[in-house]
Amino acid sequence: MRDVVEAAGDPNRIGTPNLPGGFIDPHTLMAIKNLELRARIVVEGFWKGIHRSPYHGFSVEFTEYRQYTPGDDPRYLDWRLYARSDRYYIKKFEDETNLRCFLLVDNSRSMTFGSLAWTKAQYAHTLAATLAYFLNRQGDAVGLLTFDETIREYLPARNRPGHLRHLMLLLEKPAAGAGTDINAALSRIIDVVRRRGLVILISDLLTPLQALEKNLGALAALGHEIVLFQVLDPSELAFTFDKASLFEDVESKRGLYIDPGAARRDYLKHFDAHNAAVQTIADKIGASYVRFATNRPLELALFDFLRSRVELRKRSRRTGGIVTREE
Amino acid sequence: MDFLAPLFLAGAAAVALPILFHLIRKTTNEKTIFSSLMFLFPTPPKVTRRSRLDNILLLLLRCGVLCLLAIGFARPYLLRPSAATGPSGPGKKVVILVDTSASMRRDNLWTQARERVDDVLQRLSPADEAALVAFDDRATEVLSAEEWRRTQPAQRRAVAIARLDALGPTWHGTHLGSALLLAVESLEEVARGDARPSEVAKEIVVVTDLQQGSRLDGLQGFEWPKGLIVRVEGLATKRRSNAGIHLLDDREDLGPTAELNRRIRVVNASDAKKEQFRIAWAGATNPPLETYVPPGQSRILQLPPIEARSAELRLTGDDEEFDNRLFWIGTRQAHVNVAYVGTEPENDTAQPLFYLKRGFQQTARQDVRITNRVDGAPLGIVSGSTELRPTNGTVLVLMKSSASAAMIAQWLNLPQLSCEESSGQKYSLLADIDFTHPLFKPFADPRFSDFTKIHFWKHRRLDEKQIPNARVLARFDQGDPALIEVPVGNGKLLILTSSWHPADSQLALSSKFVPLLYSLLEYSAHESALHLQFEVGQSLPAEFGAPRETPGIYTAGDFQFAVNLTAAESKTTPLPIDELEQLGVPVKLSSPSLAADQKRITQRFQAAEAENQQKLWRWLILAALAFLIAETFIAGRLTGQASAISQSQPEPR
Repeated sequence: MRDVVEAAGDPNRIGTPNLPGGFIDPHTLMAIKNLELRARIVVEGFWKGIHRSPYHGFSVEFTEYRQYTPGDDPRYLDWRLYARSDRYYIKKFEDETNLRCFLLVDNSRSMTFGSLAWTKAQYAHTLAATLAYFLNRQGDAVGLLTFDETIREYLPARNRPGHLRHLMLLLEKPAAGAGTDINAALSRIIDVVRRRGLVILISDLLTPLQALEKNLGALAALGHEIVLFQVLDPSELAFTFDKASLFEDVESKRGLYIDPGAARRDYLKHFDAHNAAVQTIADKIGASYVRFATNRPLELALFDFLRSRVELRKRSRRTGGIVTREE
Repeated sequence: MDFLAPLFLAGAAAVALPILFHLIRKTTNEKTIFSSLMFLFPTPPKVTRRSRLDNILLLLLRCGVLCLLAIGFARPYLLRPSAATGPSGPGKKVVILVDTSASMRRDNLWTQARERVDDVLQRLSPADEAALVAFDDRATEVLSAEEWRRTQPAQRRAVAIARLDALGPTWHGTHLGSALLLAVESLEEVARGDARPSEVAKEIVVVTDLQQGSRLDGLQGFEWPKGLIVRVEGLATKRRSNAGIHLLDDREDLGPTAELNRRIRVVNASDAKKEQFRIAWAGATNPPLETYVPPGQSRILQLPPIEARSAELRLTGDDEEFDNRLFWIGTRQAHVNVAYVGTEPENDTAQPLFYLKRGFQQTARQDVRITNRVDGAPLGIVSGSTELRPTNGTVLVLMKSSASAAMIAQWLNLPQLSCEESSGQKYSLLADIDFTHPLFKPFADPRFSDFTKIHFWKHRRLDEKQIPNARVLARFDQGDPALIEVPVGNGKLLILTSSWHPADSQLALSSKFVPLLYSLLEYSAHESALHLQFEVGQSLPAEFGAPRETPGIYTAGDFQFAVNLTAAESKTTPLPIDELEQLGVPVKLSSPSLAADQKRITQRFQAAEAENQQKLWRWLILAALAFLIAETFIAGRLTGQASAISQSQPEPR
């Protein structure tokens, strides 16, 4: 199963991956108009999957019961369990189950690019909706912030009836911005969310990275856990063009005459260097960085997400709560 | 093969374009939308690796079309050797007009003129017939067509140049108009002797500096004979700055105390480079008068003070000397006595004297005094029957009554002179006026010749036949003489059979009265009224003799007079040739460079004619069209084949 996950999750694979049984074909999934329905299908499928998976018991917050020892705070005694078993147990980490998660979704115009039947934005929205649905179902509070060159929509993290619906509606708004300013969104989150939480950034990250490290570092310093989802089109990953033509930047509308045969090597070199820089930043601040193509099944994104959480937790335990860069 | 517009051949370079386009891969207009160009850099257009050309025939056809169009636009022609290169037919008639006006004294213009005439003579063939005419403000034949004919062809040029060498620039003005008309007339006359006058080529060659001061009157509306051309051989000098100095005419309205002849005008040529000039009396030690005259403008100045009666004024600061001298004669107010012989009181409005006194007003030029002293008065006016016999001067007798007839008879030594008062009509008008007489000459213009507003209530009927040598200058409408002139000794007796006082007529109240009085004073040979400033060549009063040819101060008897250059001669800026064309002159400009290019122009004209006859471009355009049709056909077939192949192949997934 691990192999399956890794094979399906290889971001450098071009075209529709050779899907193992049980995963939903992205073509079928993206054909569904309703975003919430898409999210539900992914999450339900995921639940079905994890019942048979070695990752059983994975959750956003693993709740642990520990036998009471003198000196523990009696406020954390689980009186219900005492009623059932006549033993004192401390319900550890219960407060962490109410995780506050912020989804930062890039709505810039570069996200409207897509060489498949759907765009990066549609895929990113589905991913955000899936995560939101998943977290909501666990009882966690989910917030949303969409941005392009400026902040577009902001929904605080809550877990109340109707909140998920509201979030889905905001996600359904089409990407309309021009440029991308991730830093504005991060600055806003730094200002608004003072309590520790989980920040998931979903973007193509096709933007200069100068200030990204600083802002992500500031978020990490506040105690937030950070996950970077880089959504990319297969043609961006491999530069699969073959005819020379005028390439127009979807954001700036700038045009360049490009002969792909001649330009591919340079492109891939620069592209890989950019992604390596992102990886370096993520490593530096202890963030999870997951890059995948829009032809990848979304359940795998959930797997990635959970795995990254586990890794984070392991790291944090190893370092006594201080997240350090893993060499 | 030669080309009329060879520059169009450069268009054939466009042939390179189809080839280049074919070789460059950047032929697509396709646009690919991409998320971000941040990892992309422009790729230069790349020449295809395939060096072979796909459709040689199509390419050749397309290149051929471009080449044919370029050659067609270049207007090719085949120049056949001209049969008529030598002289043929009758020779042309040429009049060479050489400007000898004062402005030709500038720089080396005269030398240039001589060389230019020599050039023109050299270009003439033995069959041609030429006449050489020098002109300034009049035209003088230097070598007539008749003399040209008589002279041996080999000698003609030498004779003409020798005659020209004997001439030189004069001090006269320029009257190009009259010279041209004279040349036309002489050409017409010469051509008339030919068998087919209309076929004779006629040409007037004008060798001139064509200055703006040239007079062109007479050319307006002149109908130029067909086949005649005027070739202007323009002379030019590099020294452009020329200023002139001229005396201004006195204004008659100047007050009696104004000084005469004190104003001068300094004129600067419009293409002059200098603007600052100095004016000073010749030989005077006073500092010169500094003046600033911008190019193309003039400035009026008061003469610097001088004691002498006549002097030479000099202008310095410009390039040309010829018009920098002004000869000046100071004119003072002249006192003239007019004797009035009569017994009337001065202020009696019913008498002629009252009006006479008011008729002669004091001006800056003249101060006329009415006296009763006859001695030295050039004009005497007799009212009534007083004894006054004309000896040298002029005497006007106003016949206030028929009794004056006796006095006149006595003066003229006539036995008797019958005279009677007119009767019958309420008034009489002047008719039959002799406007050729000096007395009435100022009124000869139709604008001033209307005397019908003057009513004569009374007049005396005097039969002029009774008086020998009498000349009637004006009659009344009944036919009675109104003004009779009789020569007496060296003087003249004028008899007015009426008078100007209100009882007799309205004459004193009419606008004709004052001019008539001054005309009478002029007629009485009043010398002080003479002008003393003249232009070169201007006709002078009889006592001054023949017109003078050189500027200067001359003395004739008791009088000094000045002769100066005509003011127009200072306008040395070249006249635009368009002005001659506007006047209808069939002009062709000729300058040294143009003359040198004459052959080239002729060749070009022949080429244009040959091209026009052959019209090879039509065939080239037809060929280009044929190429285009072939190209369309072949391209259509190739496209059809290509699409058939692509349809037969399955769509690649």
